[in-house]
Amino acid sequence: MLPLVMLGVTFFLFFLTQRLSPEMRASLYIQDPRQMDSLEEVIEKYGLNDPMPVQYFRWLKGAVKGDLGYSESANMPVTSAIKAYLPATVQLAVAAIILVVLFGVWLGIISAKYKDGLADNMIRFFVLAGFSLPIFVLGLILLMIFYGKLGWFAPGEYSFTADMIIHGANFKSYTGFLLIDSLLNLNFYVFFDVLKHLVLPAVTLCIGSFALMVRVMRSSMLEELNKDYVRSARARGLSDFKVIYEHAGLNAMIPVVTLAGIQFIRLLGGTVIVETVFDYPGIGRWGVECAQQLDIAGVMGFSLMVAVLFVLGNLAADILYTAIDPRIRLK
Amino acid sequence: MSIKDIISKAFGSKNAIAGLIIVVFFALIALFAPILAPSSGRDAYQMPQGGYSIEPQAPNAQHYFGTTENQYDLYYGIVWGSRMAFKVGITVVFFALLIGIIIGGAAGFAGGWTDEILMRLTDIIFAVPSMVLAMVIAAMLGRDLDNMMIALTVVSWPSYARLVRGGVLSVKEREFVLAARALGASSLRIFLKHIMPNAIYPVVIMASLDIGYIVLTAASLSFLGLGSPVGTADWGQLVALSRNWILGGHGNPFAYWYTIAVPGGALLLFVLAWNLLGDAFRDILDTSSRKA
Amino acid sequence: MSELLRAENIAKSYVAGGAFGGGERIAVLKNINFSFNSGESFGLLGPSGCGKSTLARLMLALERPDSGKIFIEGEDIFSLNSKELKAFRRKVQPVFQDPYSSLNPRMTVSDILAEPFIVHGEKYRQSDLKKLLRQVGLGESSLRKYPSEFSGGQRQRIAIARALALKPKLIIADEPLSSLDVSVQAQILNLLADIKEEYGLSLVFISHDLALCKFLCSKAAVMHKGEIAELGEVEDVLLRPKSEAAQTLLQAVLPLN
Repeated sequence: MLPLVMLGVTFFLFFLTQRLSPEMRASLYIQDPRQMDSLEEVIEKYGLNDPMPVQYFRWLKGAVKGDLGYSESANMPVTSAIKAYLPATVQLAVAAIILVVLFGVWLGIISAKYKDGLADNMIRFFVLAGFSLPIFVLGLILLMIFYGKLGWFAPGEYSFTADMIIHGANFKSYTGFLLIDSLLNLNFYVFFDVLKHLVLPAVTLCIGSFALMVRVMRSSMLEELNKDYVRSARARGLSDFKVIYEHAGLNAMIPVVTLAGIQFIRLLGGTVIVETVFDYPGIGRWGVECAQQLDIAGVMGFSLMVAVLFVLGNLAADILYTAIDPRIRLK
Repeated sequence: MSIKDIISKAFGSKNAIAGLIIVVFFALIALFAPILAPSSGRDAYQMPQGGYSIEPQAPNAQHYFGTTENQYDLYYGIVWGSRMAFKVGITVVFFALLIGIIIGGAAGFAGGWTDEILMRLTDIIFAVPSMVLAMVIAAMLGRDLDNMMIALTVVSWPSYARLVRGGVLSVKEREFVLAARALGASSLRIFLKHIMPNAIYPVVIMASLDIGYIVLTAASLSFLGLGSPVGTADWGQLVALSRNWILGGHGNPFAYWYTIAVPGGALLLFVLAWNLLGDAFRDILDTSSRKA
Repeated sequence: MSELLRAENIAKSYVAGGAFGGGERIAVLKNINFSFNSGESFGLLGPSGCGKSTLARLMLALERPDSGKIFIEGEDIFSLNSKELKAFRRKVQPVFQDPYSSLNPRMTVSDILAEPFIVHGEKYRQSDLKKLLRQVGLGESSLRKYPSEFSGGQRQRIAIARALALKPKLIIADEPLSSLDVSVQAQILNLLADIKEEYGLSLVFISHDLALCKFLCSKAAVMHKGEIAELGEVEDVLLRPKSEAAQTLLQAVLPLN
């Protein structure tokens, strides 16, 4: 299934690139910008005027070997660009999904507990408003307040000082994830600096995802609260807090876990805008730059990578779902 | 449940009524745009430029909402932007729905290999987040309003196709379809008269409510500079024009608040209204399909 | 009297589960043989899941059997060309169990009743539709209404009117009463008896209720797990059942009588 879908995606995108001139498509095949000096040669060598299917299979053969061309907007080969930008995006998406789950579950529980009351209605309204708020508008407003006015959080991935440290001789890169690397280097300054820069983009990214999370948690919680075991727990005189958070809450979390998986994947689409607004050097911002500058190798590599992440993520969510829901496992 | 029941039930909720009022408000603005903001140029969607100064102007008697950088009038942009929003939303929903109905209907009715192939086609589109795919398609087609709408249509039809297919599959087994077959009605007649009218109307309602989401995606593309051409009255583009001014100036961080608040507010209100409507209808359509 | 319908060695099975093969084949019908004459009515009895409805679909040529043949007036209904099939459709019409599902909710009664004529390229007038309605005991004002504006019993009347439009020789009624209120059941039962008389048509009456069957039918078969367990005159089947399946079915309804 996965290979078939990937073939379809790449074929479709490759088909689109055919609208562009061979000169623009040459970057798909090279690994070194100096090759661009002899453009005619590249076009000749890779048969960029051949029929489209022939070109596609030639490109595919290279792509399978990890040869995705040279990204002019990143000034490096596409594979290197992915390696350089992906960790920052994953870091951002993880931070956002943690916020979504924590606050989504909490708001969902409150909403269920005070069903149809003031708190419930307010939560539902604000969650919907958040869902309707264009993330680039929210991002700009947050920047205006927290950077322009208060000066608390700056755009970018880290400050100038942190940049010096990270690229200094004593800072070793273990994983590419700066939050992990800084801890491994025992450099807490960098850790907190990176964390601080993560706040605004993560908040912006997650705001649109609350709607579904709160709704699912709320209905799941309501269902759970109506079950016999919750009633008997209450009858035994357990406190509301204990009943809600320890008994019903944990069971109501089952659909939330699945949803979190799916939301995590969806956040990837949002990173495109959030990273652009906050000038955050992740894969999304790179993708936008590629699209804006018609960096074809970059566009292909970017969408290919997003598609792989997306499909794998959905697969993982499915597996997770069957793993935690006993009702499905039994079937 | 009949359409009448659904509509009367949906508007039992205050949220839905609020949504409807706002949508109607924007629709009126869109409808009367030529009167509210008369244009002098040939293309009314192209915003007139009142000078070449970079710095935005605060709201004043001449420019009710102020101007953006490069002196595009925000009032004009908001008014014609409403019209643009409806134009983009309705066009994209119409064509995406049309394709979705044809492909989903064919897949559900024919079944077998036709179904398999058409559904794998939707899988391919679903394999990339719609925002990313729309961005890539729009970029490769070139910065142009029509191309943006094509990109949005390409990423929108698969979900309608799947919904229509599901509807067709469930209607196909109903006894009135068997009765029509027993009468000797042709496949085409059964499909057009019996299956489609019963399979598509929830999808049509859902799709119309997607106008808000479509406009939001379109605005995102324009914000990234991959949507409408420079100077088009388009809320996303107006927001993009505020990017250089959000840090303020003259010692006041909020000096240019209107450059973001005006177009951002219009966009938020528009999308929120559709979501309020959509929420009410989705609740009802969900429960009614569960009962059926 | 001439023979109207004959079923010979009908067998039918479905593949359960697994859309890509590998599923188990489940036999729904095995070795079905019966026949009846024009003007006669035939009762098909049995508990739910015994294959009655599948047999009904086969008799309507909506599905094909794995093996075996069904003859209507001597013609094998599974080897008809499209023209012959259309002629067959005029002869045999269904009335289904659930009148909430058997009428297209988006068509008016007028559209529903006109459809048989349109499909067969026959001219019709409003008066023809009104006459059909009168025959099933509904007023002319019903023509403009939609199915949702009628009760279950009224809907079943509309379904019967639709079946009558082409003046069929055989109506296959698959549990036509079981989704109706008891008070309405008797009315529809009487209606079926009346039209049977008036049109001189045959009825295959599928039911799990032996008493109803006795009222309408002269012959009956009791089905059990896809096979005919008992076949004969309705009196014999009802009063002197030989098979265990027929006895069980009979006992199940006895306390009610």
